[in-house]
Amino acid sequence: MIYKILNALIVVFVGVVGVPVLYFALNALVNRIPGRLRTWLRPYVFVGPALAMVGVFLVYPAVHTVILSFRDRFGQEWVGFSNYVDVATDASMREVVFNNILWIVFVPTLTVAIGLAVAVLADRLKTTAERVVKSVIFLPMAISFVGASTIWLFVYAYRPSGEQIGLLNAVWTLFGGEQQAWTQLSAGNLNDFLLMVIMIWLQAGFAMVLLSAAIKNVPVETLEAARIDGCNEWQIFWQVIVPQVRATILVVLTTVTIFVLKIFDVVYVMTGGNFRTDIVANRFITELLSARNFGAAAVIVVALLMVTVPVMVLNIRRFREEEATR
Amino acid sequence: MRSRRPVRLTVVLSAMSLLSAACLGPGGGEGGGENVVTVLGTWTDAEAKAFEESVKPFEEETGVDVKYEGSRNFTELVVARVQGGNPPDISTPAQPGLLSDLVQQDAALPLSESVDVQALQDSLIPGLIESGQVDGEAYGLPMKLAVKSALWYPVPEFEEAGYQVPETYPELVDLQRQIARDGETPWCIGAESAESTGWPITDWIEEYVLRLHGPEVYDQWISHELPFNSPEIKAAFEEFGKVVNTKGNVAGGARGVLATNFGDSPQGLFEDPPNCYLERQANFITGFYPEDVQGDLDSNVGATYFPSGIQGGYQGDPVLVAGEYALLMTDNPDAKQLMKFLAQDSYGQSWAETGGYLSPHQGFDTSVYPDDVTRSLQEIAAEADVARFDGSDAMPGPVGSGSFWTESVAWLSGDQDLDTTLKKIDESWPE
Repeated sequence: MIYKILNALIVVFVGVVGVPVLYFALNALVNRIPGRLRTWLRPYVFVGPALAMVGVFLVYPAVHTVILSFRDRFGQEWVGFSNYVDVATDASMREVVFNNILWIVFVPTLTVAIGLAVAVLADRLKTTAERVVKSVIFLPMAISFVGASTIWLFVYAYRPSGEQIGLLNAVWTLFGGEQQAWTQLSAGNLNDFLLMVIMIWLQAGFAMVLLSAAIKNVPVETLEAARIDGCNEWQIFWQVIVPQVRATILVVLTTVTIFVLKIFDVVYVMTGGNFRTDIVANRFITELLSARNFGAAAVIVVALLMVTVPVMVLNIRRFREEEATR
Repeated sequence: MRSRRPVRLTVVLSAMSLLSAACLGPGGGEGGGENVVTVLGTWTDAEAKAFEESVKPFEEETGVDVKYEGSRNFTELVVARVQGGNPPDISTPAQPGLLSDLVQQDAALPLSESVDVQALQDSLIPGLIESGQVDGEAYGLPMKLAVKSALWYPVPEFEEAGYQVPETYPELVDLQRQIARDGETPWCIGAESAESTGWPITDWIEEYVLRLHGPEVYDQWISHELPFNSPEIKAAFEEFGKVVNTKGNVAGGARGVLATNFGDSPQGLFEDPPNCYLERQANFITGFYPEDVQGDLDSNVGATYFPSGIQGGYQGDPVLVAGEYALLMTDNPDAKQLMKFLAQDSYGQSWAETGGYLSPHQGFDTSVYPDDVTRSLQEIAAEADVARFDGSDAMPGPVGSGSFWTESVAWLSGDQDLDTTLKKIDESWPE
């Protein structure tokens, strides 16, 4: 324990004090180099450490992963495309991908819908009430995925005998239902949706904050003009507010989508991928650590990378466009 | 200006040294080096202390410092350390499958490098050395035994209700019916275990393969000469299915089994009145019992052999065992000395006294065990006709700690039928 605390302190110290010191030192070194070489060298000295970090911790592992995907279970012998064939023809993999598609379709849209609804409705409250409502919705953002999942384990808890402790079962039986093992109910992908609720609960606050800021930026004149022209509130929302916050909606959508592509904690904690709830990132963890199948794990990462990159590109392009119009 | 330079330089140097020293921690470095042996194991908390205590005599005798690091994520950690070129001197895998994976990654040294294998084989319970072999070469040193074929029951309530401890499988089936007739639930079964959910199911299947078909079929099965979708293995799954799916046998049926953590399931034995009367589980389950029960095992709980003698099945008494192997991973001479120490048939006495330890040696002094429950567990292992190591632990990782768990869960939960399940497990077997 004492080592962990010491390590944490050292990391914080190196990060906060060490890094600026490093830059000062490098700058001082460059100052000693004469003439044109100095002007040529200086930008690289400042960009260099960042590039090195990205190279060591991002580019190198990515390249290595691609290499591993063409090697055997232990990463020793070349096996060509056989890992790709194995993963692609694995029947359970299809289910995993389907589950992921469900997550990608429902989580971002529902997150934005709820975030937008809360933002619009809270906008009409008195200042204090608005603050309270927004804080409550935003609160889950402060909890880690694992922490949140542990909380929801208790919400969905089911015991075959003895005293029940699950919140959902308490509500369910109050209305005359029978005790259910909620996370096991795979019919109609119900348990998938129950897990998605956790993610939405976590992310709705993030969506709300961004969308709320955007809505407050909508000029009051446009709303007044619409009212004078005889629009009702519903029409104002869809035809005046939404088009003006469209850019923010898209940013939130893509950001949450990237989160969803990477999500594994929720499934790992709640079901471990059992009961037909497995998703790609969790499958990667099981292939790597439980099954110790490095080749297959690498294939999954490469596939995930290929799906994530277009979304990232889209996001960055949109960001640039926005910057350009500013 | 000039005078400030040395100051700056010191700052830079100290920053650099901080960066390089940024990872303090016990057992951090590669191997042990001079007079230090690093051991990476599965035991944490009380068990970690018990292990450290058990090697004290070695430390005092040789002056070598044994640095032990225990983690619940042992499997992940040891694989990561090997991948990172930073292996411990000795690791203690509990799964021959993991052991064999480590050997195949050239991360382990044969047992003959450190101990006399033949002498060891004569001293151990038969079958243990064989399970720690890779391609006929022994690697794993059995250092702690787990007996899986144990049937647990609450002693006072059993006597009160007039139940007889079953000695044959038909007697067990009768007892199960009798308990159900009395309006009680016979079995406590829990198969939930976070990311390892499903392993208790695989133990049941292994017990039934042994009891239905005997050790030869068992050996063919774990080496995949006999596939999962053969009629023999299918029969074992069906036998377990009968236990779970017979109405009233387990609280909540299959869903209850899958929702109950294996460590919580024995709580039912000690409720008043008990929620359930029988549990088949390995000896380490006592560590999950309520504290007052742990304080006085003998008067609360009994352990007997999970009976064999299924009609039409194998007629011997096979026992399913498991346990930790010590695996030498570096060329450190002090580590080899420690291996020799761990291989002694008297090793583990201090650990046995504190409880939770069974020796893999036949000649181990059973009087040091703290209670009769532990002694009866040792008897189960000693009196068996034949011992076999936990099959799922011996299978390759993608099956033994992968599809065998997850597909069995999918079958038991009713998400897929048995034939599909067996076929999928077979398909996941690496070539």
